[in-house]
Amino acid sequence: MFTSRRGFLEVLGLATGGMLLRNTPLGIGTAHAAGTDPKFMLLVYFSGGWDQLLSLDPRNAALTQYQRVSGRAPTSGIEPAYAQTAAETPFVDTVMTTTGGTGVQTRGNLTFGPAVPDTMLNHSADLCVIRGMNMDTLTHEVGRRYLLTGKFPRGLAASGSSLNTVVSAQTGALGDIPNISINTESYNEGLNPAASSVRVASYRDMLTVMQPQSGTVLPATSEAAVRGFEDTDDTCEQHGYDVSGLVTAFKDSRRLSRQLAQPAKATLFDFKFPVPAGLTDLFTAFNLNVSGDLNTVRGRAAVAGQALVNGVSNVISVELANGLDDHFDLFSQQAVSQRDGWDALGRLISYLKGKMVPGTTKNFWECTSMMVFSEFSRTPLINTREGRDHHLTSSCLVAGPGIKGNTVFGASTNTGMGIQKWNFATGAVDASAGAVIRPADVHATLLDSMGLSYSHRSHQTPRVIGAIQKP
Amino acid sequence: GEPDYINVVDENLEASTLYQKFMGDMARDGCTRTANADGALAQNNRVLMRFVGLTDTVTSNRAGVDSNLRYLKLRFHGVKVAPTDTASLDKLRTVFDSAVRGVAGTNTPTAAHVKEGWRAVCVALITAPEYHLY
Repeated sequence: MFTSRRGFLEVLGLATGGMLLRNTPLGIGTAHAAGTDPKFMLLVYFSGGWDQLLSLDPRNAALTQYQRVSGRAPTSGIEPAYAQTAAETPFVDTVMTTTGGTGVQTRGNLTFGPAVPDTMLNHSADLCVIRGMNMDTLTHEVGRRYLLTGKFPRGLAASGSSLNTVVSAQTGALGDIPNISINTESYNEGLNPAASSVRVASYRDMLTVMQPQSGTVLPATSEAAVRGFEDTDDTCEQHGYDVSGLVTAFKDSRRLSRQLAQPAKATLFDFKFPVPAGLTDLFTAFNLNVSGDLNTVRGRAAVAGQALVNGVSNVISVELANGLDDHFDLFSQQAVSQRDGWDALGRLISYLKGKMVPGTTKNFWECTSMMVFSEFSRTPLINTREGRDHHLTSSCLVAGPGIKGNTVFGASTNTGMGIQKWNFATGAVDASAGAVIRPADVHATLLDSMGLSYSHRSHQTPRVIGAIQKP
Repeated sequence: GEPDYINVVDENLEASTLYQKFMGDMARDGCTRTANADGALAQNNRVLMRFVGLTDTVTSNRAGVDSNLRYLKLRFHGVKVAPTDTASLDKLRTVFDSAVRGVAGTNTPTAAHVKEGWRAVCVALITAPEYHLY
């Protein structure tokens, strides 16, 4: 029936592959080690380069320096354009009304633009906004990979392991699928294979990963015989191929793959209508009411929530907004896309707050560290096509048990939203002895706050932002 | 794993856990179909049971089982096992025998039971490193 190995694989529509050298993986553990605080990681990506004026770095649109006068660009070089957005986006119009025309939503020490909904604003006490971060690039792939790994890419190619993989590796790669990437990139450079992410796009992919394909279940005795062979098979050929550790890595990942198929837990991701009894709360939490909702960013957030609270994964990276690269016609699209993403994230945080970590007195959010980012921001002035172009100075959002909430660190300048230098210990502007905020600094700060090492970035000379860390 | 040269410029050659999971699924599915197909074919046209009868077991025809295992080792892994070398076949023989006994229990193995044995051998061969490293 099959004349060759390649023919065998081609018939089944699967590609062959080779292997890369990887370190020996750590042992497989449960969702968290007993006697210690569990560590979860949430990495959230807003794809396309966000207009931070609508979210993390707003400006008071009522001030003259941020308004066009006689058709001329604002003197500050910053044009929030909230009114133009409000004209095409009802919820922004509502925010403009409630904020008296400023467009700035204030919660404690934090200010947000009009695209951030209440579902996210309600968590302000836990959030830390970092502003005035220098992205050093205006290229989508470069910016994305720079923030994922904390190291500037080599051309377009990512350099180093992404933050989710680093956290997974250092926390023991726990969970059935230790690291899940939902529609995001992930990189593993030299870390144990167990920490590599499994990339999925939606709940359907989770079912594919966690269920054996139809007709592929062997009787228990056959399965045991095959596994016994896999665990003990040791041939001369394997030793020959293993000079660089290839076979060892292959066998390690083969052993780890056995835990992927979890038919019982796969039902956690069997999103459908009518809603299965066990998913009612989840669907309510993420406002999933019709089939179309399952493929929205709220559906992705629901997958992330399910994976975290059910011990499937300890580290999740997820794309919660896309299509933000609005070089034209920004007013009708940007705020909507951002709002959907912030709403999904707010619901996810609420969901994590409502679930207790087994064996502890803490909820999942209390044990979760988070970074929310985009590859760069958008120009503070509107271009000739009613859009915004790429801008170097961006913001990000961090949170976690080791991060102070209700805190802002850094700021873009009030002229042109440029970069400033900061004292990382005090949080004050320091033009002479301060430093520019970089992605490597954010990575180091977050990892340090989790009690994890950031030595893999030592060649980037990262600076921990002590001002935002809890003592 | 192929790069699109838009977002990905490197070919992903990693034998990730997901790759292994899919390979395992593929092996089980493909071996099931192949074992089922063999039953209707003449012996010299079979893929898995080329040098054995459909009801041959280790007990009834060890030499035939070993010959078939040598053939499968050559076909799947490109490794030639000498006719006098039986030790190299021990582990695969154990897979076959355990799988047959597992489904036959205390009964005399039938063709269906023997088929299960060769299916298990097929899966073991495909999920082995030698199948992927060539």
